[in-house]
Amino acid sequence: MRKKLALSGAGALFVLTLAVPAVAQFNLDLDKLLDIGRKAAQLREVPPEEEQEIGRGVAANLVGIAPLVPDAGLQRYVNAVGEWLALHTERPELEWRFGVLDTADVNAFATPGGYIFVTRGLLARMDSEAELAGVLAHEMAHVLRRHHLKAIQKNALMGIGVDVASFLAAQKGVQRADRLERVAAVGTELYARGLDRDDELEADRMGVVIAARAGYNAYGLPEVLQALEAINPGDSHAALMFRTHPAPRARLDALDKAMVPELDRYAAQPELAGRFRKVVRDRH
Amino acid sequence: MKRILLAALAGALLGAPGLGAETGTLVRASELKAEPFTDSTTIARLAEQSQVEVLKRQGAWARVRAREGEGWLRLLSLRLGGGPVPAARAESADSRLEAAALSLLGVGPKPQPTVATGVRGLSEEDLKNARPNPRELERLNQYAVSRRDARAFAGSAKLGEQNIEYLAAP
Repeated sequence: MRKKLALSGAGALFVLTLAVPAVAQFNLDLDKLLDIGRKAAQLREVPPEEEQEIGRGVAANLVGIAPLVPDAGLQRYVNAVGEWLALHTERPELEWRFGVLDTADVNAFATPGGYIFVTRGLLARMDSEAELAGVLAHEMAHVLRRHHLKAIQKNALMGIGVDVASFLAAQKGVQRADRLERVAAVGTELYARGLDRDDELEADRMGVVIAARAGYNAYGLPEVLQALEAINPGDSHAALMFRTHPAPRARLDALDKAMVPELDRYAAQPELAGRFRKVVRDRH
Repeated sequence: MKRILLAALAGALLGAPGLGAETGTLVRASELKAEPFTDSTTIARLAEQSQVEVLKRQGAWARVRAREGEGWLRLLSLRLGGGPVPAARAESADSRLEAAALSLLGVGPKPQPTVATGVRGLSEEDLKNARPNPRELERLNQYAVSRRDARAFAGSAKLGEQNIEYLAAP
């Protein structure tokens, strides 16, 4: 109850600051005004610099849980594929970073601002560079569309009462660092709940296109989804990934419908299984 | 001698089902095509849940051997790995994959502990209690690859750039 009141207070504040024309236009229906206030708060964009800062915080948390695989060659290879993909997106200027996390868990993560991670466990289920590209591009799509940032924002509205940009903007120094840390914590915890189903499906549709733009076989991501489908649903290493994503078959069916016929033209592009094997499989 | 060798080779390539071959289960009734094109001749209609042997993949298509003959199926019409498998078998397959995963990245094979001590996970609990590791993040920055190097990397593999619009939501 108390929380609700606090939220209403924040909403009313937004009504006053952002939705003045609405007051003139409509009768004073408080619920409606609060709703407008909330929507305005959700739409308020986090500036790129803060998006990057939040991302850095979330990324630092992720490598705090599972460090990077100690193999510079492997890490650079994944960064090369990722940077090449980034050049075929609408945000090539972001400081994209790519890392392989040293965990047997099967998963991949994107943070705001362009930090992308795949786990060693997921990499082990891939057979080619085109598959790696498909997975990285799916994660990059989350960044391009600011899916996580929007989810943090929604969550922040409930937790801190104002939008993220305002929450950070008023502060300086230690206090600001503390607040950034809190936002990063919200962003990290988000991976336990996952994104909206539609955001995941959108990232799938964008991922296959980005990979194909960069010259890879467009079916790399679907092939990884097929490999995920073959994992025993009871496998604990894949539990979090399964719980936070639509079922692989549902994603495959959606992709199948969306990709035919346009993307079939790009199904014959290179898969680069040989190079992938050389770097990922045969190095050790 | 040569002929015997060739015959043995052919036998190894054509026969011996299951020897390295991937199995697939149809997730929907599908047409088995003579060529990997939608408008190619239909060899047979395969029922949902039919089992096939996947011989090779080519783009969006898989060349398969079915009871009705050999031909092409849409790759995404297949569930790979032979469909529902008994838990015990699936588990051994998982641990085999796991061992491969560890060794391929130089971690070396480890016995799988029943309690996950020393095995890093990324569970809900881990995500809630995360502590930042700025030094590890600094390491990540050192692995960054410049645009120029990325271009060279792509060029060496002859990855050709394409102009493609994003796909519309259904």
